[in-house]
Amino acid sequence: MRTSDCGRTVLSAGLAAGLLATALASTPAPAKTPKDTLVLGWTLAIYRTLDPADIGETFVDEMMNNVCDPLVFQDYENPAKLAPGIAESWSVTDDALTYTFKIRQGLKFPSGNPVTAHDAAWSIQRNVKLNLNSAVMHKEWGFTDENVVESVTASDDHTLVVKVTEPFAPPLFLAQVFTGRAAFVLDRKEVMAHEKDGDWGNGWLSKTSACVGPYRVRTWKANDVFILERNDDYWRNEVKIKRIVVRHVPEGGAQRLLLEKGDIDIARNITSSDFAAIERNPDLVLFNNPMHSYWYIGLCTCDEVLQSRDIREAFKWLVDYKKLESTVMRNVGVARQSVVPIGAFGAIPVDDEPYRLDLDKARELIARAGHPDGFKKKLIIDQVFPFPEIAQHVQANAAKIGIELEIQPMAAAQLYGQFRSRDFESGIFAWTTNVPDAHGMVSRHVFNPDNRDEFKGTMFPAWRVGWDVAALGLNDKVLAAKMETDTEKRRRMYHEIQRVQLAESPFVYMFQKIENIAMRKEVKGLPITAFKKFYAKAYKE
Amino acid sequence: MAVSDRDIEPVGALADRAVRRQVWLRRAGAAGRLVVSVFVTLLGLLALTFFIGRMLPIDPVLAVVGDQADQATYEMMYRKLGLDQPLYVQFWTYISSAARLDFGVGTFSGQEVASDIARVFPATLELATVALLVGVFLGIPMGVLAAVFRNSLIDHVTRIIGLIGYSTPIFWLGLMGLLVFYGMLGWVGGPGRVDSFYIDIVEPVTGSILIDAALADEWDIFWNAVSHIVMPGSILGFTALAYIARMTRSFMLEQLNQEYVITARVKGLSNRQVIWRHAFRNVAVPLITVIALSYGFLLEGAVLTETVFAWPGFGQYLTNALLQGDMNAVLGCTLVVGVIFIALNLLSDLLYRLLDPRTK
Amino acid sequence: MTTGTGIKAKRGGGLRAWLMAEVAETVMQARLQRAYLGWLRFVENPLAVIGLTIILALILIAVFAPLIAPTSPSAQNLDIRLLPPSAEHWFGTDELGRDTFSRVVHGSRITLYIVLLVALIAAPVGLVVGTISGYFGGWIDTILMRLTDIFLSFPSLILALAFVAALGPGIENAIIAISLTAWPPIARLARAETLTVRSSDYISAIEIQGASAWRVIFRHVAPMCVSSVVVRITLNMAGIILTAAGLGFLGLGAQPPSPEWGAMLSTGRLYMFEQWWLTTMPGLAILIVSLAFNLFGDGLRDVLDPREQ
Repeated sequence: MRTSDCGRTVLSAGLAAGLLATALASTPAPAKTPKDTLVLGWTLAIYRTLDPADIGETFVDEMMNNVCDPLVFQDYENPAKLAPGIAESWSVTDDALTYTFKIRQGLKFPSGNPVTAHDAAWSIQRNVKLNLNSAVMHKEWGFTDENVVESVTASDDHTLVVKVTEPFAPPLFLAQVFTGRAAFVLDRKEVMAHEKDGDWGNGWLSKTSACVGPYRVRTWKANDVFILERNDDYWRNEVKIKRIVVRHVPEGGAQRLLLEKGDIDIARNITSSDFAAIERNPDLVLFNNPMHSYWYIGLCTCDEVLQSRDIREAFKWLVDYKKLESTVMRNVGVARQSVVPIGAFGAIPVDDEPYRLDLDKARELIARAGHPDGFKKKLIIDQVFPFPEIAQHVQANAAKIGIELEIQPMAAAQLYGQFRSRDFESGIFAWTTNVPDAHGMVSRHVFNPDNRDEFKGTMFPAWRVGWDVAALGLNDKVLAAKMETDTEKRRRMYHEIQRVQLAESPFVYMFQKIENIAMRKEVKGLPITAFKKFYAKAYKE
Repeated sequence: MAVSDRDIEPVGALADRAVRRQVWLRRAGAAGRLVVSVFVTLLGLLALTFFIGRMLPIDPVLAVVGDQADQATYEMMYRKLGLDQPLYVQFWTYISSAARLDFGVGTFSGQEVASDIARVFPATLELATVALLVGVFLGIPMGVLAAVFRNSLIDHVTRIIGLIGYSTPIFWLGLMGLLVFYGMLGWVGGPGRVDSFYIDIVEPVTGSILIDAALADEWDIFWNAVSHIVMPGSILGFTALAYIARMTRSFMLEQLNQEYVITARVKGLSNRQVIWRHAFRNVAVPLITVIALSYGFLLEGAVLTETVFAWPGFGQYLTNALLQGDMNAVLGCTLVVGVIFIALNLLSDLLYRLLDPRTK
Repeated sequence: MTTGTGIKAKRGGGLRAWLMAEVAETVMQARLQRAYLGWLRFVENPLAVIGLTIILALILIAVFAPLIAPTSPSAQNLDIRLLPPSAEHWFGTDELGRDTFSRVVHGSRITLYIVLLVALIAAPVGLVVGTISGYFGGWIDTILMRLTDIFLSFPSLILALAFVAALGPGIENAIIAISLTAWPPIARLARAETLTVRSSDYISAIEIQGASAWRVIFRHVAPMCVSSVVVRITLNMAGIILTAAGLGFLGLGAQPPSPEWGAMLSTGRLYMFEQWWLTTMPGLAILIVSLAFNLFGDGLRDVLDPREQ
């Protein structure tokens, strides 16, 4: 037949393809992760630097906390408790103005240099002088470019002395300043040997590490992979996992498949609908870790309509907190209206929070403010889950009382750019704090030293929305709580601040974030808190 | 230009010195024009990217310092990134460093953009090459078949299969493919270039893990890498298939209606000989252009595939850079893509002239 | 007027006979005859007819969307979220409890809107640039073609992405961005066509009669290129739909709660493995419509492109 020749050629091509497929199917079964290696799947979009003075990303922060030990640890189980780190002990003078740390003897940096108090003092000075991302952690507490060299000193090889200008509440000061990346002790000699153009070794440290910790950085490639390798003579405990491999997997669905197949041990970006599948799989464990992070609406008082307190309160009655919590936000967030997260020192109970979905109340409020027929506003949001979902929920409720919200999704770097420059009407934003204490949130959200445009207090969300906190007397209250040494009194002060915030603030706090960590059941002993993950304690069965 | 070449050949045979010189001059002139036009295109490309970069409302400083930074830190980084300079100064700095292949440090990756590109590009090249092979080895037979049996059921079916590849959202296909062939059947490797077990073992020489593993004599890794690239490669190839099949069909139809084909048939050659020896041979030349072009499109089309398959390649890198407002990275990537497109165009032009008997 | 009576006069012999008459009596008759013959050839291709039928159906669905859709595309009800397809919700419900069928139906309006506007912007721009470039040649040609090259050598999704990011999200900006990426191939095509037409005798004849360059381009050259441009843009429609969907997928297309298919796909991605209908329904819609445009474009080319006759 005239057609058969040609048909045969195509047939054979198809056959060849089929054969290739079968050949592949019969290649050795994919290797599972080895027992001494922990593999994580994570979306690592930004991946900039490893220098503790400059870290900005949650992921790098988490990893570097397993590479560098700080002066003081947050306890494995209870982050509010402190445990000895590079400093084996510490003391505070009665006037709360001088702190003395005893540096642990016999520790050595990877270079072989001994760890001394001079390294510790220099590391803090470096952080302040470099004035990068982490500098604010010290500058908030009165350390400046000018005073840091006199304030933070080593009196001998194993004694670090830190002087402060004001008598802060000691537990707060210790927890905020000495437990994180701003208190990593770096190898001064080694870093300075790689200094270039007065950069304090910033260029060199962006790709490597020079500190004491359970792990060392082996490889890091942006958008690809990050590998840590065990420090075999770690001082604190025996480290069982030899290697931690973090793979960049942008799709949550792909992470789930990898986890189910055992090609990764821990998935960090499981998405909404896959929770059920993880929960019903006997080989997997889903760990819900409440974070001290928020999703909240910011309403700019720079806008004529939103200037009205009543209008702003109306927004607080437009969210069905409980309903969203049990549906869209299930496993993702818990409803929270107070500025202080559940689990932090000084938080008011959830039952004391007043708002719920109440359209009549909202209608009444906007009528009282002179806008009975509603108005039109833009709502800027991040484009990733759950911003669009929350935004559409609020939009639908607002539409019922005549408020027309136009949702504008954008990239994070653009969203926060507009937020920081007061160039928006309303928006949904996220915020994370790094201490389990009310101070972490109120010092930014209920504190605004100067509300004028030219002050550019961009680090304070309160300034960004133009909330004149001073007029309500709150600035002083926040500062007073920061200095209060009586724990009970301090707690009461935060309760009072939260009550005013709930009634007056131009922020509608909606949800406190839950971090989902899906693990294979072989992974054991990994301490997970809202702030740290201690991989040095993990092992596989 | 093809015309001028044809004029010249017989004259060259006369071996007249002056004429030869004229030919040489003409060719030099053509080459010069080509160089200038490539240069102008590149410059335009740079200007366009720069313009877009400056139009982007994304704040590159925030991408670096984060939302919680204070104003002093912000302003320091603003100066460090050179954003306080007047635009024309920024443009000049940018052009002159691009000429030295120095794109600066990527703000979101913290590495030299040039070294980043050198690292991520081979991954994409590898993926696109596999995809191209799939597209060519399935697309061309499909196209030929469709042409031979024009308007028959076979024609319709091959066209629809091809067009489905062309019209399906690629990430949907990708995730579904993963679910079925990796999740359920376990026939192929999962997202990523190799299993976690094999990561970072082979020394990167060429950047293509297949070649590197083969060079290092690590055949386990090689086969593992093959099992990982099959899915994304096939799915990406599916999108090229429609284009290649359609063009093949169109070229073949043209050839099959030519007189020489009819003559060949009359002479009693078998159908197979007529199709492959005669008709297809003439089609091969324009097909090269099609293949070169689809190679370019594959490099570009890899963006979504790479996201789904956690492929640490160029497309993902570029998308990320764009969303973070990392202009150094975006500009570097754009230049690379532009150069590749221009090079592919030139190459297909050259091949066309070398291979096509009619242009000789 | 004469044509009108002409039709009436010949009705006796039947419209078909008139259309098939060997000698056309008027210009109008000749044109209609050509169109009719083209139509006959088009109808011979069943796939093309299927494509056309789907496109017509899409237009009808878009026009009558509010009548077809059982609910508003933005009506939320958190009590019935993520329901699988059923008699009540044909395509199931989404993460906010909206009826997916209603959203897909309303989404057809957006898709059609994007496709038509992009075609209306890109085709004329490409045609004008291409014909001017081809007709004048010389440095005008060089400049315009280098410009086209610059746009062509920029990956189209990335270019669109960058422009949308710059202009801000939203359907109109997406349309502008996609148009920016859609015109260069058309300009190339129009230029190639112009080059072949330009040297023909009748263009020379018109030039000798003293017609201005612009008149020649717009009255005589451009109309010759229109058919191939139309074919090309029809074939590009699928690409346009997919680019729009890609933008929506990357979060830069239509603004929520607009039921743009690409944006629906993008949201549904989070629910892909468990609630398959959230991606499958808009995905199928995109597939069917872009397939239809491709099939229709193929058929159109068979009719209009002389090479394949």
